[in-house]
This record gives sequence, structure tokens and C-alpha cells, in this order.
Amino acid sequence: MNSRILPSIALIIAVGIFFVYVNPVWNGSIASTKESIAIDDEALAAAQQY
Amino acid sequence: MALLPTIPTSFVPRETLASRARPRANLSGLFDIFAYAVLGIIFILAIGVFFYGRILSSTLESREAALAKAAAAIDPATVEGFVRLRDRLNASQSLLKNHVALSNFFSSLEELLPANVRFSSLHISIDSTGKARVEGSGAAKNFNALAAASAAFASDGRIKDVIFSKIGILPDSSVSFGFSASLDPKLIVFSPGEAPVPSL
Repeated sequence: MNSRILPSIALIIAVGIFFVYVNPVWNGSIASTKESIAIDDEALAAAQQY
Repeated sequence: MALLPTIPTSFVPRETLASRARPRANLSGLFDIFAYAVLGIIFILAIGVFFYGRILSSTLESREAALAKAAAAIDPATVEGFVRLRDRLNASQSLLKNHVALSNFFSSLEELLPANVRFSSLHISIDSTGKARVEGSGAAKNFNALAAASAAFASDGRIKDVIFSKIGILPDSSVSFGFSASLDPKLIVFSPGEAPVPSL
């Protein structure tokens, strides 16, 4: 019984890391940064055309 | 001679309880491996996301710096000129869109009307919804000419709901009539492609 405690804790930590850090960062700051980069790229392309 | 009970009768090892419980131990081991593997993958994913975010941030900074440099190189007066030009083009486009040009209507009337039917007055009104209505009066050489005009309007379809009223016979035996109809909006909207080129 005791031998299952550590793997269970590891699994809980993994799920916690995913939902507390990985998922919010990927869908939040990384997504907005990618969008800003795309907008900047468009503006740079327009500036080059000008 | 009877053997003592402490002396084994066979040297083949007996199946122990531990060996019976082996499948359960294997399952537990699989669960351990799965849990640690998931933790490892999530750790790698988290580290990857962290560094990817850093790379994206530095990329964004470099893009913004390049954009600021490009913006500084653009002449503000030229940009202002472009903005004014765009505003003027937009304004002229909206003006042309709402501009009423009756040239198409008169051209259609010229094509449709038989030569022996003439209008003596025409009044065109446009209501607030943009629907145009034409009313007028005229004279035709005879009833057949009037019927031909009515048939021409009906077959064309752009001058709709044509009603000939107040039909009477004039002293010169021609037929006088009143006229009312509604116009297809396309007939009175200005279209640059169809605008007549002024001759010099």
C-alpha cells in the first residue's frame, strides 16, 4: 500500500503542474505573444513595402 | 522405516505466496513507471514552455525594435498625406454611391418607347428609403403605340408597376395618358463605367 503513495503523489504533481503552469502559460502569455509577433510581422512587411 | 516430518520428501521448491503475488507486484510496478513517466513528461513540457516563452519574448522585443526603427524612417507628412487621400477616396466613394444619375433611366426610356409615344412631363421622386417613383403625362399616336409601350416596359422589368391612367383622345385623334411607375434602383444609381465621356 505504501509503495503506491509516491507514484500517486507524482501523478498529482504532474496534473497540478499541467493545469497550474503549462496550460495557462501556453494559452495565455505565449498565445498573446505569438499574436503580437504576427501583428508586428505584418506591420514590418507593410513598412518594407512602403 | 518412517521419515521424520522435518525431513523434506521432495527437493522441488514449493510454490510460495510471494510467487503467487507476482502479477500484483508487476501491476504496481507498471503504475509506478506510468506515474513517473507522466511526471517526467510534464516536467519536460513545463521546461519547454518556459524556454519557448522566453524565446518568443525576445523575438517580440526584436520585432518591436525593428518596427520602431521602420516607423522612425517613415516621413510623418507623407503618412498624413496618405491618410488624407484615403479619407478623400472613402468620402468620394460614399458620395458616388448615393449619387443619383438619371442618364441610364433616360437611355432606357429612349430604347423602350416607340417613336410615336412621347412624354410631355415627367416627375421623378425618391423617398427616404431610396425607392424612386416616376410620374408623368404624354401622348401617343394611337392606342396600339400605347399598348406597345406598355408591353415594352413589362418585358424590360426595370421600370416596374407601370400604370397608364387618364387616357383620353385629343383633337388631333392622338391618345393622351397619365403615367406612373416605380424604378429599379440600379437604373438611377451612378456607375462610373457607364458614365458618358464628354466630347470635346
